[in-house]
Amino acid sequence: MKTKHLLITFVAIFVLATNLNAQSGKSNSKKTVVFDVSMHCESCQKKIEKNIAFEKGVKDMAVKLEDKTITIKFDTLKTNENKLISAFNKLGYEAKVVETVPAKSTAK
Amino acid sequence: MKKQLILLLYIFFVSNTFAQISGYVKDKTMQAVPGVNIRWSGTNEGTISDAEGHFRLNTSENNNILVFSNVAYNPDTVDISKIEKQDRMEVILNDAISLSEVTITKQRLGKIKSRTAVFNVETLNTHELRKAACCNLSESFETNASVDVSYSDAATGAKQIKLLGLSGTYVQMLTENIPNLRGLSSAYGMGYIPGSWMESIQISKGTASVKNGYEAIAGQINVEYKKPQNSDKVSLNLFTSSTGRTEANADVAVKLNEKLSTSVLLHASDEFLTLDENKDGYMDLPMVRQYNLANRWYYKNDGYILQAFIRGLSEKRTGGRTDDSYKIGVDTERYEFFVKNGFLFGEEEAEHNHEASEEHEHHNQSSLGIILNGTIQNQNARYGLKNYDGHQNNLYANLIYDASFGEYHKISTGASFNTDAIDEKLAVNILPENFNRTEYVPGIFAEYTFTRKALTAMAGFRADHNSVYGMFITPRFHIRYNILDHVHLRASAGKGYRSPNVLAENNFLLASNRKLKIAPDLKMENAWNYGFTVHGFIPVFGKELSLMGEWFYTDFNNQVVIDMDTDPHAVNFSNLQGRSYASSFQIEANIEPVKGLTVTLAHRMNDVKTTINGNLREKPLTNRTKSLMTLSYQSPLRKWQYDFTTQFNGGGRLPYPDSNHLLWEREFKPFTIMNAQITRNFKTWSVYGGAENITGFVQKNPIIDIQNPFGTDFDASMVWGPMHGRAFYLGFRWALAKSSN
Repeated sequence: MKTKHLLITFVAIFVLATNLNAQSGKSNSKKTVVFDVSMHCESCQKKIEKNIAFEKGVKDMAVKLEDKTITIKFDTLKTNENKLISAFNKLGYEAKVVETVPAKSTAK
Repeated sequence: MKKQLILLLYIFFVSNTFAQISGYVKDKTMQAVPGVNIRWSGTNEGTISDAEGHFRLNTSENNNILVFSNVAYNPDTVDISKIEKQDRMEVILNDAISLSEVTITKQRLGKIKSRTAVFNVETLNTHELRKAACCNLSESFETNASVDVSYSDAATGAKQIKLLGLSGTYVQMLTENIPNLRGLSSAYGMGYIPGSWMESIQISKGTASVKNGYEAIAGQINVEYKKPQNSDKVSLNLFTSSTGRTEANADVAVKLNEKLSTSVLLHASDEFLTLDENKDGYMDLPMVRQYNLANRWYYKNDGYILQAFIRGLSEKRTGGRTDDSYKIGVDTERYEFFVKNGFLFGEEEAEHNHEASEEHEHHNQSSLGIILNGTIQNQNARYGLKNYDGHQNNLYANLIYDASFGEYHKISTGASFNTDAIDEKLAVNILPENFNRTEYVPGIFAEYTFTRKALTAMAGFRADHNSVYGMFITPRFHIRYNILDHVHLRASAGKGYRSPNVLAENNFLLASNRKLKIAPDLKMENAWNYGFTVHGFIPVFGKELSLMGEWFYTDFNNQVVIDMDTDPHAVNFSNLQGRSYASSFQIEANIEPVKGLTVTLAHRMNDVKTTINGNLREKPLTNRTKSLMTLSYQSPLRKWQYDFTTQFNGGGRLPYPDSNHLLWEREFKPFTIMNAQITRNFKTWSVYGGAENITGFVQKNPIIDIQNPFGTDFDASMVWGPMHGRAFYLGFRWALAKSSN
């Protein structure tokens, strides 16, 4: 019986954690931008993912190595496109904005 | 001559005038890869490889970089300006599973079942290994449905694994594809490989390839260590737990030049607390102190790769009564080395073959591998009044020649030599007995693989001559067929053999006062294993549900039967007389219902029976069923990771108790184990903390007649459940990433 309760508790925590993260994207100050980045290899991707994730204001990120594009969702109150570009430059990569994804269809 | 010239002209014509390039995509098993996205870098122009892996596309005026991508493989880029004759290319993609470093970031699923391999292989990469406290190899299977891990006994802390309901001795252990942890190390060996040294683990169920020998009966588990050429420059791991385990791991990788790199791996751990939660006067877990040091080298030149590895290990294990009236001590020293040489031939030839390639494919590539491995182990153990001294020297050499003929055929052939010198001395009540054995086993093998479209078929044979047991033949067959793109079938049948090492493998039985009776004429164990797997990838609301059903059946021709039933105060080891089998049916489902959340559900049913003393009986201390549920959630930027695992272990039989003097039950009941962990990742470091055995379930009275450690009833081998209740742990990882270009 005790086991069952614990199990339910853990599943509940998981569902909650999942929901919390899904909800954090509902604010209006979020913007999704696709960047074209001069990356060539897996390790570049890894490096970028590790570092850009910790840039202020970055909420979500999807890297497509084959297209050399990185889709970033960020909080406009905390950062902007130029700040993100300079973050890429700091890591040694060229970056430019390709497009801004309309707010309704945010990055997956 | 004329014909060739015409052909050449034709190619020239095709490749320049029409500016088209074509090629063929395959994976490492030389199998065609359909559905690969091939695009000019940075554009949307491109094509997709057809059902046979072929592709053709127009050249791009201002672009020379072709990008090959497919979810199951690591993407690759090819600079066609560097290829002189780009009329026909051959691209070999690496499975996403083979480079786990990459896999962590590429795929969220940390556990990957290969879709292309002919074997039923499951790979646990670093991402999966980091989901649990994972201090060493034996603790790496907590989130895995196929492998069971349990304590061998209630006193030594030794852990053993079970695969397909069979004990770990029937699973061939490999490190870097070299047989390891054999003989003396089979009792405590699972603890010899530190968690932070491992890059990935491959679990292969059922019969294996004949290339690595004849010993895999229930399956094969291979461990890949971190490699100097792709590791972080420096990494550090610290760990501590409420059970008093403290651990420090550090490794350094240095790239000396373009061709040569080296790394040093360090591990030190100590369990310094005397734990006795149930207050029975007996330590729940022994105190173990281990030092482990390894150095490895990697050298790569055109067509030649050299890998070398050397390590030393020292372990001290202390257990028994807390008041020191009954003591268990196991001291181990172990040294290992290996050298692997790889030569690649035929790459140049393939490039010169362009003339012919338009009409027929000739992939006449070959490679030669020479492996040399050596181990020395000394083990001195004391279990109360019993003393055991063991010494093992092992030397192993394997030569493998691989060649592919055309698109569809591949042959591996070679020869191996293995020698084991095992000296064991057991002194019970100061009466020493010697068990010395030296085995020389030369062998030859050949394996043929046919690959075409959705079909892979493989047949392997080996012939070995054991200086003690004589000559024997090992046939093994595998077949894989994709009936549909999303439904894969696998079937296998094969034989396996092993020399018994009764004392070394059952060392933990010395922690009981059962009399050991070993038949003098023990033969080699041998069994057929049959397997059948159906793996389906089913689209469910835009997600992919991976569903797998598998059935494995092991049928022993000879087995060393461990009889603990006939006499509750003795254990008899004898040759099998009658039937012995293990049947294991497992179903497993994996899905990512919400982005970042991975769910695994699995259930297994075991039916393991052996003829013991003339009666076909259920194997004692073996779970009849096991279910597993794992939930793993990673936040969008991978800053947070939550993992939760529940195992439901079904009950089983215990060895027969003395019917006049009932000291233990006939059966053990089902029980549940829950583990949870939270990881927080930062740029260069991460912290993780968790709880093991959250429900705090422990087996009550695991030691029979605990008050009289020198009496005849004393028995620590009736173990089926956890020895220790809830435990918390905290760990820290830091890494200095290698610089990328």
